[in-house]
Amino acid sequence: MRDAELVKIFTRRALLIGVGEAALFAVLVARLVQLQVFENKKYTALSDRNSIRIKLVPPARGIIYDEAGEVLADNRNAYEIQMIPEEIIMRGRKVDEILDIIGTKISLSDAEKDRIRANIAKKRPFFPVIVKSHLSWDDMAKIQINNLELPGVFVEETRRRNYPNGEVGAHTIGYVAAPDENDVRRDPSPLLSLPDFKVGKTGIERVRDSELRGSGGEIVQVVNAVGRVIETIESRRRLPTAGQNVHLTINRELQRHAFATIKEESASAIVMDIWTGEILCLASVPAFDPNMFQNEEDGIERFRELVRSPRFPFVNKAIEGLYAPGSTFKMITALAGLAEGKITASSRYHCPGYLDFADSRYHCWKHEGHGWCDLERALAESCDIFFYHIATKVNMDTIQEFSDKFGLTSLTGIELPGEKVGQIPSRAWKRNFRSEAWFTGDTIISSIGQGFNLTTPIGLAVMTSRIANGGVAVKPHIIKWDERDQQFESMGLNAQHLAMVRAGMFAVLNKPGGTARGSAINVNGALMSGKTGTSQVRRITRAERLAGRIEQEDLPWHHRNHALFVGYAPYRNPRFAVSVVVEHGRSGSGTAAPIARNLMRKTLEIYGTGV
Amino acid sequence: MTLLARSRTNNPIAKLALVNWKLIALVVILCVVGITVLYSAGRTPCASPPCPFGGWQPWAVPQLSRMILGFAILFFTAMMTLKFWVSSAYWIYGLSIALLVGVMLFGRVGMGAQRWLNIGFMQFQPSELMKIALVLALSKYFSGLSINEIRSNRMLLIPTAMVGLPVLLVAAQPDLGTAIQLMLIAGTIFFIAGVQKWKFGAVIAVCLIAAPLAYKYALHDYQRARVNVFLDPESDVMGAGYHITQSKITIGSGGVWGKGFLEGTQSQLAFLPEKHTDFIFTMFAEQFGLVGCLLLFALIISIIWQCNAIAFKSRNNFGRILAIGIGANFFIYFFINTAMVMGLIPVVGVPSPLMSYGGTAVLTVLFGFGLAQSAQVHGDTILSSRSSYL
Repeated sequence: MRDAELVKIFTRRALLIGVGEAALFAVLVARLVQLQVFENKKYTALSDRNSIRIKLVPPARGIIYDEAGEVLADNRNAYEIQMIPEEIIMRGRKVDEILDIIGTKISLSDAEKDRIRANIAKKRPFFPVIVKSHLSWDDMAKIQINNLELPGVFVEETRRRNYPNGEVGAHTIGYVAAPDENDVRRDPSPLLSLPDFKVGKTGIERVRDSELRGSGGEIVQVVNAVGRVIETIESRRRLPTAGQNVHLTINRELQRHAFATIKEESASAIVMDIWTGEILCLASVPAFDPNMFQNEEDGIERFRELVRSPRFPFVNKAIEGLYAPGSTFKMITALAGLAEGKITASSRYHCPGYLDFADSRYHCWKHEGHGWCDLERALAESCDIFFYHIATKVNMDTIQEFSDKFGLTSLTGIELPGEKVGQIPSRAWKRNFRSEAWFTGDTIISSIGQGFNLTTPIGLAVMTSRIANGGVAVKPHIIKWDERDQQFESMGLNAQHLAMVRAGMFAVLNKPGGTARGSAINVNGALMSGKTGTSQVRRITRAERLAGRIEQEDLPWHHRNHALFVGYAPYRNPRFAVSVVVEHGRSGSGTAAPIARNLMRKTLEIYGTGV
Repeated sequence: MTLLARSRTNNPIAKLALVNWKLIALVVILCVVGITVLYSAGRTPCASPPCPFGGWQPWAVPQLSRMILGFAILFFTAMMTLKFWVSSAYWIYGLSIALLVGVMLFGRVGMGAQRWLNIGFMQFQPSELMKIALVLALSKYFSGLSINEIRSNRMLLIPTAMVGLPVLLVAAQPDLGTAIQLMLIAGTIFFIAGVQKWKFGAVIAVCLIAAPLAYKYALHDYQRARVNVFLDPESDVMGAGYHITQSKITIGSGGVWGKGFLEGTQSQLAFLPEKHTDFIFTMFAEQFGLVGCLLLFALIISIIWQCNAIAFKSRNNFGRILAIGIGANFFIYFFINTAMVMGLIPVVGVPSPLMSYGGTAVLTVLFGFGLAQSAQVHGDTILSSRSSYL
């Protein structure tokens, strides 16, 4: 080369370029090490999140059994037709054409077709779209045998909740339905996001939801960027754990019998084991068919219809209904009087049909009066005047205290949602909530279960049980317990007093003049004791009283008296208590007592009399 | 044969013996790596989708056929004398400029830029040819200058214009990456030719001042978006930042040993866009990991090394500058692409040489290695007086 200087420069600079390139390679290597070694964990996690989709598999919901092991709620296989639009198109067919063919096999309305087309438009073409849910076996078979002419259409098996007894026991068992916003807020479980997942809404389905639900399984799938499933990773498949079964104390047969007996009335009926607290029957009528929530389309219309009903089919009246106990409260007044020593076994009062006290006249239900009554007769014939006399002597707080002891003023703790608490006033209560002093007149009204007194049918069942079992503080429960858990303490009450009250209750059904004489039973020598109650829904005005008696039948339904009956049997070896409240049933002896009679007779037939 | 002085024969068989076979072997290996990765990006057809990963279609086979054509060009180029390349350097440059103008007038628009020219059997990208043509033309220009001429500012006007014209044409497409690549190649040749260092300092200083202004006034919105995303990739993970975020996930999740051939979840599952073109390095990194990448780097360095070896052995200025320029061009290609997919520099759209799917780049890169081989084969050629080059 002529220019030696240039060659020297070239050599130097070529080396410099080499150094520069080496330095830049070092930068690349450093970056690689940073990404692939130091940040590898982070990027691996991000990569997995990109490509791995975890699909939840819903668990099978636990089964609800009755006391005898009969099914109250289980799961049925349902069939669902789905289609994958892409597969239809890939075989050279059109979605509309396929929908028309399906329409010739099973009913598929234009509205349904529109909904399907809208869903297809929303999703990527390889995602399955539901064509029709809740198919019968026949319809499923029609699609299945024609699958050759229906490419991309397949039948999926799903589960739906099934309540074989329909409305019988609907309130107790409850129902499941799709979760609403409240459920989602309360419950962070990812299962709730599954399109077909249902949660317990009322009854046992709600209170035992977490046990019944079980836990979800997982299918881990590899998906590509547009969400197409590439493969399923079998090693990471996790099977769902089925929910636990729940065994109730309810007897399905008895429950059915209650519904059959109550018929068209708006009523509730409870049968309770007075020793164990097991609820054998808890009926609220009218009810609803819990199955209707499983099929959204027609369920909503039925639901709206029922919600508007004046007989509140969605209210569990047995625990949510608050009623003045009426004469069924007289046992409490009697026990308070006996406890304070204001009356004894030999106390007798004359009933002329009314009692004048402090410028007021208090009437007995029997216009012409009962004449001379002792406690037994007063209970048997439900003489109000006898209890008015107790009321004039006894402290209201004592009555309230006995109401407490017999479970009328606190929640019974039954494992059902929505239980209401009864209310028996005390002096303090009236001062605090009414800003008025307590008058003896208030005690008189309270003594026969009117006025401020409110009780629930379940509260009355507890009261009756505790009277029948000699003052053992039994509490009701509806979910079966282990034997060893059943331990209730005696309240240490005067056994003689209780016996006197029980004698009165025996006379109600079994002695001439008893208000429920017509509802007496004799199942192999086992007799029932009880007490009727008729509680006013509205006051009888003075004008009405002067104008003469108004027949209940002449009043509009919602102004008629509530009819109550509480009882227990067998008289000599009590085992079961019954509590029946018929809303606007006019009279306890006329409507409530016959229902209780049928129910108790059936109970004794099923369980024996124990004599 | 061994006694045969280089370039003293016109017998092609004899010339073949003079070819740098190490360089050929290294380039073949790189091509095999490229085909392997393109195979992993493909799918084997099957009756019921999804089909298994890996397949000769749609990328591996077309790329292979271009590579075969490319090697034919390489050997043909190597056989031609250096004199021929000196005399045709400006013609090739001129042709490239004409094609760039042609692409502006008749070109096909793709991905927001006008880059392709339909030449019948393939879509031709003149800007790729320009990268080699510029090396050729500048090598010719500088090899004819004396040291004093190189140091004079007046003599730098022509080469600066030779760089400026294609840079402007390419930038107008708009193809910022290629424009930058052209400037870097030109800078390297200016440097190796012996232009004073302070002049580079001055140009760099001007660029640093001009860059913010260019960002504000000269860049297209999509280019600005890419710069923004580069500065803060997390700002737009699903939009413009998607590329770079997914690209980093792909590389990073590869780890030291890689996920294994055909086991890359990111690229095979299509999370990575442009996986077979500009982002092919990430597919490689995901499947073969740090170890594979370091081996790949070693391969690239070896190729550059062989180019430099040709330059050092060359007994003429043209061959020296040309070989260094071809090697530097190859490095710039690889560095910009790799740094870009690693998130070190903004995404500018420069392919990975001989790995990215794309016809023109394969042909022109192999053409470039053919020129280097010609410099090797004809390394002993004494080229006539420099004045005749102009």
